[in-house]
Amino acid sequence: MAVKDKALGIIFPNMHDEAIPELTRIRTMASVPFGGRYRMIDFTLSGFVAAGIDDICVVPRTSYVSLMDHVGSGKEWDLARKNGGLKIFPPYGEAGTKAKYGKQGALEAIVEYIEDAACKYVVLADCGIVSAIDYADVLEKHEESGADITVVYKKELLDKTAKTDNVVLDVRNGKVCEILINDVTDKVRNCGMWVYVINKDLLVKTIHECEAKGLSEFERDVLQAGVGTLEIRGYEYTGYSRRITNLKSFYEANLDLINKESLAGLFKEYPIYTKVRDDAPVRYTIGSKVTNTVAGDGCFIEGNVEGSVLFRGVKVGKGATVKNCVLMQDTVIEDGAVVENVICDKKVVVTAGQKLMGTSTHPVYVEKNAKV
Amino acid sequence: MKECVAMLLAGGQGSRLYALTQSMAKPAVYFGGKYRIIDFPLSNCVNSGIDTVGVLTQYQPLELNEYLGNGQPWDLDRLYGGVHVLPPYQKATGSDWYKGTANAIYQNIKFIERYDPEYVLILSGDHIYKMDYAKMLQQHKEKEADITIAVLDVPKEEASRFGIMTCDEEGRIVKFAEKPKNPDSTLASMGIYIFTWEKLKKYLIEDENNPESENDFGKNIITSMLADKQRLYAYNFEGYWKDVGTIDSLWESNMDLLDPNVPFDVWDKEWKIYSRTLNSPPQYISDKAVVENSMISEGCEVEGTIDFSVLFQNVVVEEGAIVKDSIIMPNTVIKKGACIEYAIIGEGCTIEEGAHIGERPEAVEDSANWGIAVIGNNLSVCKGAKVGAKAMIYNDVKEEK
Repeated sequence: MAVKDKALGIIFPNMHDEAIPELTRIRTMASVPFGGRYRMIDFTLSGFVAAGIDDICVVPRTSYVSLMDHVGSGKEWDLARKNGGLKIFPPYGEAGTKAKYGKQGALEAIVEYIEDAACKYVVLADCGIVSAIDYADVLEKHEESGADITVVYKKELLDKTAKTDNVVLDVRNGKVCEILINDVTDKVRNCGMWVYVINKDLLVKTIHECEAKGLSEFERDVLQAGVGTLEIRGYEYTGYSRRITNLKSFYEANLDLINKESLAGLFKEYPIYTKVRDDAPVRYTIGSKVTNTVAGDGCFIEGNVEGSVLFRGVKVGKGATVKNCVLMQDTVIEDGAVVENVICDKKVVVTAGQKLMGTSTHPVYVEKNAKV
Repeated sequence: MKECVAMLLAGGQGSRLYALTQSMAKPAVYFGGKYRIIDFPLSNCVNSGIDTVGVLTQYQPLELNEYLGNGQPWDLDRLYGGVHVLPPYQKATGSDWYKGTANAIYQNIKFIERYDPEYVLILSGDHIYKMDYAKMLQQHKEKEADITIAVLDVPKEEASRFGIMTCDEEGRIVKFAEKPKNPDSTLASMGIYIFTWEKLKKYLIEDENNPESENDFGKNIITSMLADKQRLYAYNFEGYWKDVGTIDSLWESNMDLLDPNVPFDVWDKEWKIYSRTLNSPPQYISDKAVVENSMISEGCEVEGTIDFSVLFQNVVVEEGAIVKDSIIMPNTVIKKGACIEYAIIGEGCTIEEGAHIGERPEAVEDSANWGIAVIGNNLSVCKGAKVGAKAMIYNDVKEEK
């Protein structure tokens, strides 16, 4: 059976928007820029494509303009297809009713599509973690084990200041025996990666049941409630990943890419696709000095850059200094300006001679289109 | 119908690029860190509002066919129009290779007529430039010309290398001379023509029926039209234009991108150059790297020294390696301590530790023996090997036994 007949992928772009409200004010978590040229959703979409899952539903709730713009028809991921391909479902909050948050609301909105899909399994994924999960292997292990649900997890130390919900698992011989939500301690534990494989028929059944009972949280009302009655298995992921739980972890996850091992961990498993922008290669002029940096195409660097992640189309003027920064698309650091420990959203301009300093624990965030 | 259809002559072998065109036609040769030569005329078409392009291939078409695909990267995947690769084909009454540039168009009259165009733009896939063909077409219409030829004012001493146009005050061409010894003008043909289709068709058919003809645009079609007192006009182009038909000109043209005094800007967002790109992660410049005055593309990993060089996608330069005044094509690895100077390294090469390729001009006593060193595609150069200036390498360089 071809994988596409086997599994349907569903992506929830708005889950974890609360982790970085600065960045998600104007966009979904899925469309948060990451790693010099990507958006968070690219890692999930590319992982699905690499596994042969090419029937994919993206179900946003709000602020999805940037997401629509980014994924378009899905052609950059080879998902502009006659059969299957990428489908973005319009927001599911109906007028006059209180929109249901969480996955249940999204699933209710597309339940008919899921019912009609020819697949046996459904892969559910959020966009709050960058990883190189081998979804084909997850599916294979799920099928072999005969489980009802497989939860992908990683041994991690959770951040106590995290603003996102966490799922902690007690796994014995691959079987999930207990699920705790938001139980943060200072120990390394099995932390759910918000990726689930679930048998389609079971998923459809739970969607209807939760709807009838007015239940809204997949993790609590299906997973946690299902321990003991359902066969829930754990799949341990041991590869590279970074969990985005707040602005600081977003900043650190970006800067963590400035190292060969991280780049290999994230990009060597399978190609990560993103929207093509047709930028020229990066130009380093006479007098520029760049070390320890990761950059997307289209950057034009005349100044000094150290320990930073530059997204596509960033300009660094003569005599400007950029240190330990994350500068998103088309940001301009004008001549002589100094930025240190700063996150600039898209199209920020730091005018000539300005100084902007954060600290490594508290980076400064500058909003989209701002002129400093 | 389409107002204007472009026909791009991409059959050129590019024999003077030697090792670089062993397995691909000249228009497919890499240029400028992430492009191929053909991206320039194709992007110019799209940016000028021309969405129907026939690409005439002949020599080593595989790479080019694959590269163009359905034309999506150039936004040329259209329901009506778009990009079409047109190789010579078997006909009921026999088959022919394209005998000359005019014959190539002649053999595709049916293709052009499908779009019933008023004008046909003839382009070549050998040049690096940015040009708004819409402006040229505008002038063609205003002058009610039969053919408009784009010309560039070249230095007098170089004029004898080109097809030279002599014009009257109105810009009407009164004389055309192919590579004249004593040019009486400095207006060189850029090989870019707009024809009124009806006229071109007539002359193509006549030319085909003339057994004496070489079926060449410059030598035959233009000369006949001039003799018949047709309306030939020059369109003055100002800006960067370079024929990249030789190793030296290919190297120079790449280096021009690094020269702030050369008015050629691929970073211009108003006139993007589109290309089919590999999907590569962002480039990584390590803490040990030294990078100055260079162009580096996505997917590169740089831990060595890069100066005055152009690195295409996914090039790896290991610690202690030096790349100066050179062009490194995609997926090539330069190992530790290797040194590349004044060289062009083809795609997919491995330059082993300590190898030295190319020489600086001042290091060679007789300047006649100096030139850019070239390593062909998918070759390896062994540890500690030395490849001198002007070398042209077609095979792996192995250790001597």
